[in-house]
This record gives sequence, C-alpha cells and structure tokens, in this order.
Amino acid sequence: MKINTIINGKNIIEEINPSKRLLDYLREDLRILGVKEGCGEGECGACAVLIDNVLVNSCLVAVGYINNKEVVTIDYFKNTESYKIIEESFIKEGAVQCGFCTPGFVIATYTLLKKNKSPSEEEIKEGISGNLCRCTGYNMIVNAVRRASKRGEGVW
Amino acid sequence: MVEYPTSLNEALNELNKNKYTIYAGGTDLMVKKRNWVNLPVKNDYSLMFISHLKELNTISESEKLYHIPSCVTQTQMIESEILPDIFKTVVKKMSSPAIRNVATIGGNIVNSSPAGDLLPLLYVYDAVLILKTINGEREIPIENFITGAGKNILKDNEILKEILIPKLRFNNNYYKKVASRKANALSKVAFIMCLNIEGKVVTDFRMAFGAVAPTVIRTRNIEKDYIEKPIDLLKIKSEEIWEKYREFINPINDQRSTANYREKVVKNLIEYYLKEI
Repeated sequence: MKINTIINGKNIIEEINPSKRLLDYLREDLRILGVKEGCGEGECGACAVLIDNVLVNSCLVAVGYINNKEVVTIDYFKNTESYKIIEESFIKEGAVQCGFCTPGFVIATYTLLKKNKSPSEEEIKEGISGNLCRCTGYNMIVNAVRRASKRGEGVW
Repeated sequence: MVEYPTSLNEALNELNKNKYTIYAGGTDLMVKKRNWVNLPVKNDYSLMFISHLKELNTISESEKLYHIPSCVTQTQMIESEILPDIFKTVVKKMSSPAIRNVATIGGNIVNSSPAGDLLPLLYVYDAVLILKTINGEREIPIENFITGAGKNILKDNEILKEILIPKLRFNNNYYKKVASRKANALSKVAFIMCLNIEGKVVTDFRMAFGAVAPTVIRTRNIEKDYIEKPIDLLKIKSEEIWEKYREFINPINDQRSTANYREKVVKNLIEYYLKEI
C-alpha cells in the first residue's frame, strides 16, 4: 500500500506493507532507535510515540494506520522546549536508571501535561499507568513529572 | 484491493467483493496476530483500515438515544460531554491512556471477548448495534449479536457502523472491575448494577457480569422480580439473588484466575453492593 506520512518532520511517500508493525518500520527500516521494544503487546509503553500528537504504543499499530498522519518519536521530540524541561526534571529526580523505559515515560509525561498542566499525584499515576519501569520503583518518576509540571508552565 | 477506503460506502462496496480483516484501533488484533520482529502480522486476509472514516467518528445524541459510531475511541468516550458518567467510570478502568487513544468501542464489541469491559455496561443499557452492508442495514440487540466467547453474527460483508444507547434513567450506579492490577489488566470478574429508585421504590434494576461465562450474563427474569418493590426488600435479598444467578455463572480456570475464585467474588460483589445502595 502507498503510505503517505510524516515521520519526525520528514515527508515520506512509499510502498510499505500495511500489516507491518509501526515499531518495526521505525526501528528496522528507518533505523529510528529511540523507540524501544519491551513487551510487544501494549503492556510496557517503551515503544510509545506520538501519532498526530496523541500518545500511542507503536507495537500495537499497523503501518496502514499512519497513512495521512504524522508520527513523532523521542528522537525528534528531543528538540522541543517541552522535552528539555522533562529531561531536566527526570535527571534532577533520579528518574532514570537503565533508561530503557525512559523514552516512553517522557512521551507519556508530555501528553499528560499537555492535557493537564498541574496534575495531582493520582492523575500523574494514571497518566503513566501504561508505562512499566523495573528500576526506579516509580516514586522518582512521579516526582519528576510533578517537577516538570511546575517548571513547564506555558510550554506545553 | 482497497485497504484504505475514503468513505464508508467505498469500504462496504469493497467488502462485498473481497474478504478482509477489518482494522479499527488494532490494539487487540495486533497482539492476537503478532509475528516475529519485522514480519507483518499473521492476518488471514488483507487488513482494511476504517478508523479514519468520518462517518464512524463522532458521538451524537437524539431525543431518546446516544449514537456512538463504531470507531469512537475509548478516550473520546471519557472526554465526551454527552455520555452519562457511568460510561466514563467503566472506560477509565480499561487498559492505559496509550491504548485508550486508539482502541475503539466497535473493536471491543466485535472482538466479543468474555472479558470485554464495555460489554456488561452495553448489556445493561440494552445497546442496539447497526450492522451495515452495501445493500442496507439491520439493527441487532447486543445480546443477540454475541453468540459465544469470541463469536458473533457479523457477516464478512458487514461493518458494525454504530451503537445505539437508549437514554435510560438510573440514579444509582455501581461498577467493579476485579483484576490483578489497576491499569492495563484484563478482568477476572466485572460487575455492574444500575438502579432507579423513586422514593423507597425500585423502578428499574439491572445487573450484569463479565468474564464469568462465555458471554456477559444479564438475566431479565431475575431483575423483574425486584422491580416495583421496596428498596429495603432488595437490600436484604442478596443470598436469594445469588442463588438465582448461580446457574448462569459458569466461569473457567485460566491464566488470570480460577473458576472457584470467580464464583466466590460474584457472590461477594452481589452482597457488598446491595448493602451499599
């Protein structure tokens, strides 16, 4: 199927098998490696990307779905002002250990704060409920999201 | 092959000619048909993508009904200003934000899983499904649509177009999803009870259970025994009500739970929530 999409700012029109996972297309074909595969079944959120500025797990998306849509991964999102605030907050709070889950958490944090500028603790937990981290025990990540929400007023 | 139709009519026309696997949100399909890394999913037929179709995307209402087209996402249902709060309560317990952003109401219905979390709610609300072909459409109550675990009467040339939800009056709603985690978990048992109480009299009483039988359990014959009766009577009848439901509750042992546990939980939920009213 002829797919017309924008990936990380670049317009792409090419013949792609629409049944391929977006995750595989990004990592294997385009070598965009900030997107990670953890569980491959929607549990862990390590493969999270933005599709038309909405949080989605790329392991659960077939390439046909992104036709006429725009995809942004952490590799491109890192150029934004929002990213810099989230990155600094994650570093300050020690919310990164092995780092494998971090791209997913960063994207989930952004989409949460875009909708809700000062989330409560419960709302933060809800916002990152689709992301698993096996290192930090989550407290530092929750603190990092809270710090980003305070620092980032007006940015999202 | 038309894998990416530009209108519902084009989709239906194509479905009339060729067989496809319909892809709405994809969140169940992509797991079920998962393949090795970098290989396309193992679908039996070409995928037909429909979630972008405008005809299938906007919640609306008429005098007596809510109209939810099949490709409305779970996030849209949570954010809807039209739907009753109980819909949001149920949907918020499902999966996680990233999945709710793409997973559709139509997918949850057509997947017809015994653990589909929207289903008990839709049974309680007497939801009616509009199934459309290029030649016309039929309206089927949800309990006649789903025939078994993962089974339903949707034909190869049909698309579930819309879900009609009657605007019912309930002033007491109770919902409980029993699962191993708060997020991203499949139900071990799902329970919903909706009542309308005027003064001290029960004017409507409905109950449904998910994940305890091949299809959702809702039994109008049991419900009717407690309608137009005093609420105080209903509250003390939990033992009797459990005994009546018992023959319909037929859970299985699986990786999530055991039949024994599920049965016990159903009994306890009935007792607990009747006291709560």
